[in-house]
Amino acid sequence: MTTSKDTREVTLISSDKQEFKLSAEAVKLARMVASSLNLIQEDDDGDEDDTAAELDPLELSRVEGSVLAKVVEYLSHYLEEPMKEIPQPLGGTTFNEVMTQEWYQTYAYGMSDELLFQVLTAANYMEIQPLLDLACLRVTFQLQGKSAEEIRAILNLPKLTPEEEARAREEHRWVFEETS
Amino acid sequence: MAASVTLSNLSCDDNEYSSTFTLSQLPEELLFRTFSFLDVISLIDMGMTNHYYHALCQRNQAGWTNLCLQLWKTKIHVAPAARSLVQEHALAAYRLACADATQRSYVTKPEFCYNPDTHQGTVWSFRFKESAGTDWTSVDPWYRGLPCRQMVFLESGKGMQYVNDDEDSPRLLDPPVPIAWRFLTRPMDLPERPLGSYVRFTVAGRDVPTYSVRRSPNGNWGFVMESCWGLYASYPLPPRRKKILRRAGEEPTWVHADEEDWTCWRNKRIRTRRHLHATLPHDPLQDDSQLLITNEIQWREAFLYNVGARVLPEGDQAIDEFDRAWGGV
Repeated sequence: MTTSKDTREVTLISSDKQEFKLSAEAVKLARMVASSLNLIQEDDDGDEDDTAAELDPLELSRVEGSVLAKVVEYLSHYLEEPMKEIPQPLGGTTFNEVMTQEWYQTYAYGMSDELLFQVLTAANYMEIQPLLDLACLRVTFQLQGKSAEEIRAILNLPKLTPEEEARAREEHRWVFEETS
Repeated sequence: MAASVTLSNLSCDDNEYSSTFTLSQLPEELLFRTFSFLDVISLIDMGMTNHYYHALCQRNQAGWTNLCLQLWKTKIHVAPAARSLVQEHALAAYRLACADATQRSYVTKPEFCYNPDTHQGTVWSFRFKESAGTDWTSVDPWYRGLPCRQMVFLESGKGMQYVNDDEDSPRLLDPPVPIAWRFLTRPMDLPERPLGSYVRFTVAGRDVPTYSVRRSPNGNWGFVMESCWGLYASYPLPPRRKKILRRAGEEPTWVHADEEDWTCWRNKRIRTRRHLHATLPHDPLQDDSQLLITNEIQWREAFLYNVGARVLPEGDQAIDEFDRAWGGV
């Protein structure tokens, strides 16, 4: 017996009062939102009475409109094409090797770093685990394979003193192999 | 806490945008989630950038527990102390396990033995070396392309055959001739090492040349023990590498059939940093030329066995006594 999808419409309102509509079924992936709207029932037997009530709009005061738009875009697409779980270990050395689904590749790289950070924060707030993982994965590959010096340069961190550098190298010498 | 920092001028080829965002403003839980995807070397490098990230990258939540489990599931023997430590301090457990695998080349009794009541312990694979001679290799299943014989060693000092034709219920059988084992620290032809570095087998009442213990050269943290004539491994030995006759140049030569792949892999310049504890894709134990204990090294024990000695001497005075008895050999 299959569970019927919740086709009711949900309205999400951003901090700057922009409204976004999407199906309740799509919103279920955002556990904070779903919980607030009582969308997730413990014993969902598909009874129509459980889904009869209209849903009030939900204000998300911590999420700006431009960010919420990207989140809604993700939630809507996820309903059509669920994102594959990101494996650990990653099983690839580039983002595209790990995330093989083209739509999600385009989605992740189709926004600026600033927007990525905001989407990451929003996904954490709204408890959207797959989106959180996708955003974290993109950040990961900015860092993966880079030396400490390169990361410092990218993050604009101050250099260590020679003594600090030597101490850090010695502390972790066990893990590196010299390559010829 | 680190000063606010930004991610700018990203070098990723896929990224068309180069604006900034503030990594350090992310809450720790999100930093941990990001770090948890990093491999060991990248996580270590992240921790070497500054004191704040160093503190974060030391913690279990940065991904060390998972890294431990991922690494250890590929390894044969992991130090019990490391397994005990992983919940409390996964980085220390990871490091302890790696250090143990690197620095300890002798086997402990629990690692060596098998418990017939619990069916826990090590099952050793055995094959003869070519140097043992065709009398032995001709009856060794490994030379016929079959799996190695398997043995287990009980705490009582007894060796038994391990038969696993039915995976649900392996059986222990008495071998065709009685086998006993014990550890020793100073065999005649080899230097003194800690207990667990050498194993003396007594087969049908006669000592056979000592087996010297070391870590497997393929990086799987297993143990191998070899004498001039035989080889044991604490994991299933890979099948014998097939040889083909290559007619290149004037003289045709026998080479391993997978020699091209092996050579390419061995000579390939590794462009990305490789973890010291990665397991090699090829097992050097398939090839006798890669083994260490030769007839030349163990010649005294081999000689005494061949002239019918029942007990092989050991200890610091053993060589002098041999020379007095057999001087001029």
